[in-house]
Amino acid sequence: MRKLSLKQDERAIVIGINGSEELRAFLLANGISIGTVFSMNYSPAFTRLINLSIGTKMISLRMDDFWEIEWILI
Amino acid sequence: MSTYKDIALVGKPNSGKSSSFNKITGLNQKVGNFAGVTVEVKSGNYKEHNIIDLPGLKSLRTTSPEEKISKQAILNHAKEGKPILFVASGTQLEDNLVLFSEIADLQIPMILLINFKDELRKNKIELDVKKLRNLLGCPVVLVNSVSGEGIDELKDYINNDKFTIPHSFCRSTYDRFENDNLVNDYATVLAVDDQIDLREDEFLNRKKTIYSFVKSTIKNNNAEQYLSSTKKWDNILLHPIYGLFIFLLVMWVVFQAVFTLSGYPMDWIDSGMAKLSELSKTMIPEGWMNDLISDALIPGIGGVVIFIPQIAILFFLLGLLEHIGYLSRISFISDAFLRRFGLSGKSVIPLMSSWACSIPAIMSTRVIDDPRERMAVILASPLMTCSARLPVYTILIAVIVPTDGSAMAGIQGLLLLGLYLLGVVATLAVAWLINKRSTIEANPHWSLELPIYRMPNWRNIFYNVYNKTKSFVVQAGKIILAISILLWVLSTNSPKSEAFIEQEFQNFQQQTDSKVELSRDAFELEYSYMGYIGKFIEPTIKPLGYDWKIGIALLSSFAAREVFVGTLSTIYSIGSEEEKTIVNRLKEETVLETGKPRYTLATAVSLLLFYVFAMQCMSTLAIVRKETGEWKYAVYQFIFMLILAYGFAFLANIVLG
Repeated sequence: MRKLSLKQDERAIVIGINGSEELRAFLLANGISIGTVFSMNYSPAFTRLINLSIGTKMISLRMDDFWEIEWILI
Repeated sequence: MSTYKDIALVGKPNSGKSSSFNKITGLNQKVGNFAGVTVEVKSGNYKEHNIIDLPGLKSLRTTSPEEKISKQAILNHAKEGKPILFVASGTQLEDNLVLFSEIADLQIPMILLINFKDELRKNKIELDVKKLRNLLGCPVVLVNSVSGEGIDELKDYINNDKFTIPHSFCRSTYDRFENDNLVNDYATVLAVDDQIDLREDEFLNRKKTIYSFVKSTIKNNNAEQYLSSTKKWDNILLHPIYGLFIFLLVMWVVFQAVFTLSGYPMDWIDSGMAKLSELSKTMIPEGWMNDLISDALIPGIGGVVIFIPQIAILFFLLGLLEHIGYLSRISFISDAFLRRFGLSGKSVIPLMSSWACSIPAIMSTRVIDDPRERMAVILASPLMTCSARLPVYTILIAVIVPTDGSAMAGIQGLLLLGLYLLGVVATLAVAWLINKRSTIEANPHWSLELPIYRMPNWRNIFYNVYNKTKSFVVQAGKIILAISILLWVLSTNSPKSEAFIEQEFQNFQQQTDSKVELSRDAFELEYSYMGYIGKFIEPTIKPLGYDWKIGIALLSSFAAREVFVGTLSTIYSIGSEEEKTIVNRLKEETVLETGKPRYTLATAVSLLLFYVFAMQCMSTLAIVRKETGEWKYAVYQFIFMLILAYGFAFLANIVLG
């Protein structure tokens, strides 16, 4: 299992999105695109979900989808 | 032709759209804090306007069936030039205005309602409404849809028809001309799903513009501060130990409340109806009217009214969890578990709603984006124990386990819990099977929006409970009452003459053992139309341990499960001298030939298992057809569940008989 290098409350900016066009469209509909700033929320491992804040919106993504997002810490 | 002018209420999930709808129209409907709570299009009148509350949507490039309903309605409004009232959450303005800009590009007359004024104030967030109005090009109203603050201003705008076409954002990007003629435009592109490609550039442009608007109109917009309290709660409520413990505790409290608290009013209703029936027998002059009211109408109405406490308590608790934002957390923590069965955390709400009734549960599957998962939930959720099964379970359990305060009485609760668990296991197993066998393409991506924790809006919760209960009583009541009258007619009329029945009765008394007690009325029932129907199907159900009387109850309850109890009440009250509760009547029922109890452990368990698995609900079949678009799914579901029910009931009768 891949280990997540982003810790709780850390902020990052999306610099690229890999994966299919369908995934990119899906992330767009959820407000995630290149340049989106997000912060990591509490995401317990047993859920296999990543809980993010984008502005005041809290959104959860599956790990497989999240791995396709390239980001850097800010 | 309607003289009302249509206004569509549009917005993202959790923007407070439904509570705004309530405030404007004065009508009350389902309002909650869970994404996608409005599962059907509802409308209400305000003066000469017809306000249509559309399901929340994230984007016009949408995939879920529920969002497609909204998208289509918006495109129709654009075509007909009808106005839109866009509801945006003031606390998520940037995100909400991206959708606003997509709709604004359709050049529809709009008013922007910005909700949660109270939360903006609480978080010291200042919004320059006038400036935003100028930037967007349409009226903007700041509202608190719970308290009603700002609603009068909004109503003034509506009354004076201040809807204005906003400025265009990216519309021209789509316009394609051939020989100076417009052959393709934004609305055409949106209307045809196949033509919707990825348009990241467009999204980024929209976002960039909206970001600059929001930045120049909002002060002190501190997201971290706004979310800090919710994040603290999530550290506990989503925790692998505390979170799961709290989840189980909440579920236990819900079950306890539904089954324990409702027990008292249900007992009162049950005995009250028995007394009312007794009273009507003495008050109304003897004759067919007396029989119809005492033996058909009152027991039939009782069979519906007895559900009210359970349904009201369940909807109150689900509404409360929804309003405070915890229901979404249940989706979050249950997603990993449900994924093993091909489902997701979004299935939790429809599945839990199935404990109340499969009909709203199946309708609420529209929030599930994945078509395969949605089909699995639609087909499997009727196996969850709905409230209509509860009286059947309660009565049959009471027949086989004493309730006189002995140690065995505690087993009743465990048996009931076991039946609920069996329903859950069956649902998950069938969902898994459907996912394995389905040819419907699955949607591999999944997201869940978690709302902030909020204080519940009690008024909306109580209105929701009232509306749901009323809807159940009216809809189920009509069927049950009609069936009660039909059964009474069939059971009090015979194709044989009175003299023939009398002769047969005399012969029977001479031929049979003197230990076998049989009243004349019971003998008449056997020779009634209903008796003949029951006897016709008796060979089919005999392997399950049932007689023709149970057969009649099974047949009549194909309309709705709860009819089973009402039918038994009707069947066994006919010919009885005194009004007794249904449990006592079943306990006293004997097999005609042997004089032994009819409702043995084997028969009762067999019946319980039959009701765990059988699809005994016409309304559910109708809604499955509506939601899947084809009768074949409803027919497969009915046959599959009937085979399961027959198989398990047969096994129970063999093993315990």
